Amino acid sequence: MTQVLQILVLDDEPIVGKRLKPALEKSGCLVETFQDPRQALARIEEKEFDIVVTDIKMDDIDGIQVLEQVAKKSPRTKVIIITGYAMMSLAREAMDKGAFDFIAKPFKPDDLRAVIAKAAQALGSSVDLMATSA
Amino acid sequence: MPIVIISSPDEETRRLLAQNLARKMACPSVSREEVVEQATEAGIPVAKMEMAVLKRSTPRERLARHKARLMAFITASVCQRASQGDMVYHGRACHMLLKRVGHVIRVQVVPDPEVRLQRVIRDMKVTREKAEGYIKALDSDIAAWVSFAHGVEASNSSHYDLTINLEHMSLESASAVIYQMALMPEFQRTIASDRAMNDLWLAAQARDLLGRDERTGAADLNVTATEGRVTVTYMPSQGKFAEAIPVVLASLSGAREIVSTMASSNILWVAEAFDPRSQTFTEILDVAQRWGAGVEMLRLLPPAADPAQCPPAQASLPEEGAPIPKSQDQTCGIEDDSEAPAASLDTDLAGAREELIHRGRFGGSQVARGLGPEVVQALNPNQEYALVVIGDLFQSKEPSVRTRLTREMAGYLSERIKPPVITGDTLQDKFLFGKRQMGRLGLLLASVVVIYVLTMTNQEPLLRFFGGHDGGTFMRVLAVLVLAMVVPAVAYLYGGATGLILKWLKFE
Repeated sequence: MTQVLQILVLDDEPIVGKRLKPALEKSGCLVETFQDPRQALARIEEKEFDIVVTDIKMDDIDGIQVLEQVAKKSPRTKVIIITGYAMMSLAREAMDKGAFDFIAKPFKPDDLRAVIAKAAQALGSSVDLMATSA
Repeated sequence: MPIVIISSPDEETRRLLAQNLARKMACPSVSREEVVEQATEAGIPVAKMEMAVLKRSTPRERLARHKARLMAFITASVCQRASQGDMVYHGRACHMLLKRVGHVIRVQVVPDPEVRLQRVIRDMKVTREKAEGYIKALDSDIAAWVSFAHGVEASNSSHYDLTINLEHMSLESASAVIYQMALMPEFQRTIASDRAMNDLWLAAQARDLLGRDERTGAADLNVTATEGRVTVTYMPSQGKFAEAIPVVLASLSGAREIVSTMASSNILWVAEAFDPRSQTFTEILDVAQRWGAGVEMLRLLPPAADPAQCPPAQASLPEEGAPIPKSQDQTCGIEDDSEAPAASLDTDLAGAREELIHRGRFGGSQVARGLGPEVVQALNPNQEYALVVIGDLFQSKEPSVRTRLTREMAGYLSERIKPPVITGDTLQDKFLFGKRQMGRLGLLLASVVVIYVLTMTNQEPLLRFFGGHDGGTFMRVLAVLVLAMVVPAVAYLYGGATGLILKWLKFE
């Protein structure tokens, strides 16, 4: 795999992408952000990302559907789910369907970096996100 | 009609049953999920708590304050709706919410496993095997949540008034059974049950208000209400919140009086590791609750060969502010990174600290390395300690050496500090009443009774003997000697029995 992590961030709240993109790019990742799940899924069809970070609760397509789509298209891609609401059953379903990890709001970019670093490690990447963010 | 509370791990089953019953009772049906969503909107990080439970790995003591806020929010919300009339409420373990209220029927519903399985296969589009695995894992997650939120096992049937197994019963029949029960006189509203609910509601509202306000949001408070009198107790280490408490609660309606009081003293518990499931923890908590005291934990590590390895003397729980309602949160849950690295929390303190916060008895925590002198140094000079308990120390040593060193430590401290110092294994004997004390009380009482009976039935010879009428000088001297020995022995037996009875009755 490439040394630069390719990350897709999907959240229907624009502020999430706006805040996460610079924070992750500072750590040396290439980040694409989406608010519309359909556009994000179309992009996932075109390009293989290392990591997909997606909100679980969105209007048309939810995070579970995104997870299923990613698993079908690129089984090696790690999917990290963001949730702001209490959804234990959905979280368990996502775990069972292969989500790499969950991160609950509110969180700091550093918390997400730590999860992404774990995902990168699982992918065999030697990128040290925590070091580059400092 | 009473309030009906339905608990089940299966959301769909409890929702359908609650809706069916609500139609019969002509009242609204409210779900835990609705109330929890409102709590999330109010800024309580419920998802964070659930994830912590789901992963079973995050240090959960950070979430203890959020948990207190969530429980207060849910209780206040349920009480508020229940005050407007009948209601059916359903959730995972909601039977723990209105524990002392008489006009509540607590129903445990065991879902039909096959119906549940088929629904998961259909909804998740998975195989039967995967669906079984999912249900098993989800039930385990829910059990962990119930344990975290309420400190009980969801399956403990003693918390319910009725358990219904839907494997051989339709939802309609189950609903009819609950409806018939709701008509029984035992579950009707009374003045006392209404008063109990109003007190619970008032206390929950007060806790919720204090949790929302930035001036008191980071405080660990114990809030109770009795007949409209709200009492807020804070630990001595949190005296800085004292002024803000009455100001924040000024807007609380329905309170007859608001009393803000500091726990009078702290119990210092010195140990190497703190296990909230240990006997010592239970006993210390019991004593603290009876005395209205806080429990301060001092984790004492063995002296380091290299002084640079010493941990910071103070490792208090980081304070987080009040939750920000979602409507006012401009960050959509993405906070700024901290400038400084997060303070590392001592995981050996974590579980006990969480439990103490939950019980409103957390009086602070410290970590120190060393022996007796370091314990003396760690005592807060501005703090009145009621008791110092030496728990498990010197854990790397042999048991006999450990016992000797622990006693030496207790002796060293007793000579140098004012509060009484005892070891954890003597706590029960000195301050609590258990099985051993019951046995001792029986023995002492039996001895006292035997002595009294013998005395009453042998008054004449005893008077002759103690009066010195039966003999010469030798007998008189003997009578004095016997009297000198018997009186203290009787006083010891009588005093011991009385002391234990008072301890049993919690008069100290």
